[in-house]
Amino acid sequence: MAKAAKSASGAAKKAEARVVEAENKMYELMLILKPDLLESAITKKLKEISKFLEDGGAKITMEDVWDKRKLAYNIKQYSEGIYVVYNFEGLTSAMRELDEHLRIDNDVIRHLLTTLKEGYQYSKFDDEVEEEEKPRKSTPKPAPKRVEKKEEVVKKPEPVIEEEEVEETVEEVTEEPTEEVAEEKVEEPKEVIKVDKSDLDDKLNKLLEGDDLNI
Amino acid sequence: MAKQIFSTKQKHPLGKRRCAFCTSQIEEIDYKDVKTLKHFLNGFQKIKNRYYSGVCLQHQKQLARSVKRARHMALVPFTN
Repeated sequence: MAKAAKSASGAAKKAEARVVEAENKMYELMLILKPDLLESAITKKLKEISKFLEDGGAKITMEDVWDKRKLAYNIKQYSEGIYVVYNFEGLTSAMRELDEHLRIDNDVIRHLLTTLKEGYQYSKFDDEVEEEEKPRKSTPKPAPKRVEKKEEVVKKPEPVIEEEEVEETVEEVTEEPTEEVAEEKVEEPKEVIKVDKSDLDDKLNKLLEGDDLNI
Repeated sequence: MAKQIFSTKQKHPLGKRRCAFCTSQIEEIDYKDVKTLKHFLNGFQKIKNRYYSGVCLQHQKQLARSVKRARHMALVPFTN
């Protein structure tokens, strides 16, 4: 019996507490407005909404309009939106009406109503700086290389002869020069390219102007 | 209060890292704070496992809630 009485009194207290809480609560309302609204239309809309809130017995403590911002995904085929944030103290009973009112409104793409804890202070956060992806920049380079290779094939016979000469000398010398041969081989093609660089540039420009290269 | 930068470097080995929110003394995670939320998102924009991010259970629950709110308001994508 005692337990039942205790539980009953506890329930009554809880109910009282609920009623007390139900009177006033801190809320945060976030809206996304259509991006194609004019400035005059936006101010009108905001006045309407603030009026609606005050008619429902709410005290607006903060109103903040963000700049036009890219959405993370398309909503109703819009890729941008105007964000508006309200902080207000309002009755819990009026929130259902607010929710429906915003849901029906055509200029509001999306809205979010959340409760705030005591001692909350609104603070604006910095937007992140978007950096372009670097690896994609390297992709355009391969196209000119392909063209160069074709012309290198034509001009190879000269270095081939030199290499043969080098090999003959290598046979005379001891085992060490294998490394030198490798170095010389690397150097030779560079010289060939240096001679023809000006011609190559002209050819490349002609090729690039003529056709659209699909890389 | 607003600017809290989390380091993404691995100071501690996996599974032994400390909660970033507890160390910076953040009690509530704001859904508007996209910069910090993105530290705890995957390459596929999924919420990272607690084992990898080192967030304590209390904050992980808050984080999940705020990420879902941010997704609803198109601040953070659902998938990538």
